[in-house]
Amino acid sequence: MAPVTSKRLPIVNDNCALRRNVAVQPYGRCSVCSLKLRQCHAWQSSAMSFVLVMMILAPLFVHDAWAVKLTVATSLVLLVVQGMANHKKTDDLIFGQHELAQARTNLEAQVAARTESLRQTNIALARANLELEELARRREKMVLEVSHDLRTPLTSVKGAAQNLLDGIAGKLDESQREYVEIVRDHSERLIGAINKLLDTARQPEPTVGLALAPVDLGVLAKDVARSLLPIAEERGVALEVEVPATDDTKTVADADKLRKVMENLVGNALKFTDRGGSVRVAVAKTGAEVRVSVEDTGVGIDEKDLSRVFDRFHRARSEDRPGSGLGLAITRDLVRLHGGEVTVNSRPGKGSTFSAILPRTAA
Amino acid sequence: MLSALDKRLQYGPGMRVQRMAEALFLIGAFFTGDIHLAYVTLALTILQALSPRFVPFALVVSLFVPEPKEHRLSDLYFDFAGTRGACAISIFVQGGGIWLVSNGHEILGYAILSVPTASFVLAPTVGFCCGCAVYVGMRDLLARAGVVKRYANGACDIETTAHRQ
Repeated sequence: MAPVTSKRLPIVNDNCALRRNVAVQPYGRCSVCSLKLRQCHAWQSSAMSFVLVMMILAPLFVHDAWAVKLTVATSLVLLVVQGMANHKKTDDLIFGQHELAQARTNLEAQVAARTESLRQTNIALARANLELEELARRREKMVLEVSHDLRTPLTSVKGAAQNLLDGIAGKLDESQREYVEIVRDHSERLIGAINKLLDTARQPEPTVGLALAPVDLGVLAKDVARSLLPIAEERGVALEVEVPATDDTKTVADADKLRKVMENLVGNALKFTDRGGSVRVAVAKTGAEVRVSVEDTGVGIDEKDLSRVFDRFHRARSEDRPGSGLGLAITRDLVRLHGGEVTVNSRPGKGSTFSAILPRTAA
Repeated sequence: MLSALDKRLQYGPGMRVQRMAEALFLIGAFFTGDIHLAYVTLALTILQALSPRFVPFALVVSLFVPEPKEHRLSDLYFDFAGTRGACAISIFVQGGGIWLVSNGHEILGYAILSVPTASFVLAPTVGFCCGCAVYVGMRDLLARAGVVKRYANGACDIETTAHRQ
């Protein structure tokens, strides 16, 4: 026999003489409560019931009358029924406690699993960060090396060309001078380009910020539509803007970034709408938000592509329409930067509706 | 490991019926004054002291009741050493009571018989077995004194090491 251990379930009452059992420890071990015997009400109640049964039976020792027997029998039945009712309540309570203990154990396991998952994510992020740092370091090194290797000979080429032009190697005729001037000028341009590349490489990483200012999205939508109208006319697609005069469509946002959002959405709609179709831009106030909807009668998006439409470099229909697959991803990021969200509804062959929902206050 | 029969006895209602039957024979002796009924309970108790699987009423019930998927708390009226120990104690108590009644000491004899009767009544109803408690308590005392070993399962002794610390 194995020695007693309570490590598997630490809340074992080893002193429970009632021997209430559960699945993990079927032999006389209460794996639920942690009371000692003298604290156990069930034990005290059962012991009292035991004494009561003996007392109820006592009259039968000395009296043989039917009335006594009837009284004893009735008392016994009452005691037993009452005892069973109490016993069931106690068991339900203990069973509930056991389930609670099990739930606690499960919760602890879930928390442990989640913690482990977060730890793994942190490790992956740290690794990615280190890799990015290494990539940045390599990029900088490469740019410096390349620029050095290019600039040094180019400077020599430029110097040599200038020497030729200065007549150090003899007088040049007009045609020769013209060619040498081309060599010198292009060398200068190349050196300038390399210097620019170096400056760019030495600049700190760009940060994306918002230049917040009051913006009327209705006015902005009309402006964007006006700028894209030539493309719509060229493609034979009707472009219209609907802004209710009663709605206040002003918000506090970065006008340039929202212009980019609208240009992407409307440009996309025009790109995927065939000749004879239409694109409608609607701006409306909905509670504390302003919704910019771009609805088209274009080719629509298949259901399988709908969930990936905002993924970077994902292109649902790339065969006949040019694009990088970045426009919608950038659009979503720009809208999220404002604290908003972009949604899409689409039916293949019927058209799509993209909505940018923006808060009316600053993000 | 428990055999299929052990599981049916432990987790099913068989042992509850067994204890009720034993209680009814003793109560019958009280109500009719016929001490021979107590002999039946004594015989049933002796059988279980020999082997905890010698439980005719429980075996019959287990034939007809489907095997329980899971047991409720307090279903335990059957374990190897616990049942045997309790029944061994009960044999002496019942034997003493029956001997006293048979020899003209009816009041004292029935008073003693009321102890196992109460135990047999309460064991299948409220889950309290006096013989088991006495057996467990005695084993605990003996284990504390170092006379017997402690076991986790089957012996129903009380582990007090954790509570002493």
